[in-house]
Amino acid sequence: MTLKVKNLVGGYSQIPVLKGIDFSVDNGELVGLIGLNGAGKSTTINHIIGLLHAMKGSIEIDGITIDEDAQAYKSKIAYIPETPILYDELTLKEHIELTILAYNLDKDEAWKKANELLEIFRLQNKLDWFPANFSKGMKQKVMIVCAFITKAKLFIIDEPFLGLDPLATDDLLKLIDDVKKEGSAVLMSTHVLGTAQEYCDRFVMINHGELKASGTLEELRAQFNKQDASLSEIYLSLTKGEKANE
Amino acid sequence: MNNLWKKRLNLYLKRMIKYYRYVFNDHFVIALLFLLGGISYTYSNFIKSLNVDLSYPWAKPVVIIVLLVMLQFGKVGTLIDEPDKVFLLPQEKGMREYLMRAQKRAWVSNSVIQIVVWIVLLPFIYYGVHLNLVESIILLLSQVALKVAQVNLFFIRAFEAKYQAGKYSLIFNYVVPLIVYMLGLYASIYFALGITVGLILYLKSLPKNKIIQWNYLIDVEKLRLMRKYSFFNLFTDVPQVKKKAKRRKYLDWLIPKFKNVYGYLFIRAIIRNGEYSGLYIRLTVIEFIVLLFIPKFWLSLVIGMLFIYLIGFQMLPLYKYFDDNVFVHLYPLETNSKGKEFKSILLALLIINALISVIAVYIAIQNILLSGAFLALVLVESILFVYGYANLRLEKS
Repeated sequence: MTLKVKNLVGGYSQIPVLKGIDFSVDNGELVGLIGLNGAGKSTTINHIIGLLHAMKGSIEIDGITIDEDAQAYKSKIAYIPETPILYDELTLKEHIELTILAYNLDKDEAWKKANELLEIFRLQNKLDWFPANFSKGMKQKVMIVCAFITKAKLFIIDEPFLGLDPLATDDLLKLIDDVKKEGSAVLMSTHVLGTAQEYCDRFVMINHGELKASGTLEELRAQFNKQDASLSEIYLSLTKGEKANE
Repeated sequence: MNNLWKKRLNLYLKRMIKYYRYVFNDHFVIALLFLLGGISYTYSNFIKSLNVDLSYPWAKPVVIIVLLVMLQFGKVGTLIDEPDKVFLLPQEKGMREYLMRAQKRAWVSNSVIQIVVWIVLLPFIYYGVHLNLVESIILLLSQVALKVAQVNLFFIRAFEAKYQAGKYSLIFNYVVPLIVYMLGLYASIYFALGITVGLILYLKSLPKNKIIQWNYLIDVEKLRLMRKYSFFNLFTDVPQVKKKAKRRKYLDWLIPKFKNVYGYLFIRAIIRNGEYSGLYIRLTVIEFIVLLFIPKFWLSLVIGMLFIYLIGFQMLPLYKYFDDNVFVHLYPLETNSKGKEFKSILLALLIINALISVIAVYIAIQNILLSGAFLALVLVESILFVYGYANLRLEKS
């Protein structure tokens, strides 16, 4: 088991946004974290990457928590945020150099991988560019390149399909598939339920900070008694049902 | 619209006062007092060395250069904001009234700057250029009239695109003033007054019935505010100032090969974000110039030490510069690496400053022993600052 989230209670202030969330992501597995705006997806991710501290419960990656060994814990994570976050003062090349430094990667090996990725995302001629010269989609691609050279055990990808062109989306999905085959785990939060249904192995559905359901599409169909329903239909029925109960 | 101007001016002044409070913090006021003290002392010695009976052929060119440079100070604030072009679009008539208010304010605020410059220059005008008081007052009136003409040109441009061309700036900011000064100082001062009055009358005669040039007004005001905010940003965080990085490839040789993430980041922030490099260079240059004019060891030492403190103090916010980037929190780094790297870079900056300032001290006092003592003491202060004061401050944060 790569990622284990146990009874996670947490949030930004005293009042918890997450009210006891349990799920796990196995080696070689792509899990979709599904939820509406404000459901608690980003809060969950912020807890996993260590930006927020759990009020209750625990998060383990490969059996260690952030409190036990922060450096070892963090070295296992690669994160691609929803909105690209780049250093205004660093060129594309320097973003890669910095990632190599930060994750203590083998320089030659990492650059070999980086060059492959740069070519896939058509960035190989833009090594000397600053983030200010990039479009949103290009910035997102820089984030993807930097994340996928890290050899992380757990990839956390927040809303990856916003701002990416169809070609880049396809390339990203292939990359995800590759790291899965290499034994890494991937947790992907998304609204794009059609793509999620097609590519994710399992789903974790949260709403109002609570875990509503989890499992494969087949398991979810059985759980909600909806044969042949799509992921979108299942999630909508779940949230609409909740709305009616409110 | 009258109310709108009043309301905006009020808000603007409040904001400016808030920022000036940060600018004139204790440290800066002390430094400024020393700086002004040093400059006034040098200036007064210089004036004393002049003789009313001697003629100084270089004095008039100096006055001309000073007046010309100072004429460029002071801009017109319209307090116009980007959404105005949508929301105030139907207020074409009301906007004229609004702009008239802005113009009146610009006349007063800009004239005050020129009067202050004139007061400072007055002893030199008397002893160096040998103008009497009446002539000096006429020179002041001409200078104020030139500034008023600049302000008026701005408001003509607000309505008439053709005057927005750069050549008009060149004519009104440099060419006409130069003619005025030359004729005024080398022929007769009354020429200066005559030309400037003529200039204002000419500007008044220009047609002014066209529609408001919103984009021009918005762009100019934005630029003006940005300059102000960038200045304030040297002292405090101004949210309006967006960080803008410049590649500065020619400075790449300055970047050492860092094996540490924070060292890698900090050095690039310093070099490529003008905020820190600009501050460091400005303070170092000012210090160098001030030290050049101080032949007394003790005074140089006080100023040298003060600048080490000032530079060090102003560099401290760099420590938090990358904190809002989520990735620095995600990197698997040792917890103390940030502080370690920051302190070694800060110390390097202070040492470089010390090495530059000792050159000025040596030129001024011409004593190798005292210069050596200066360097040693300033270096000790740098180490104490970084590993004592800065250390404490960083730990607190």
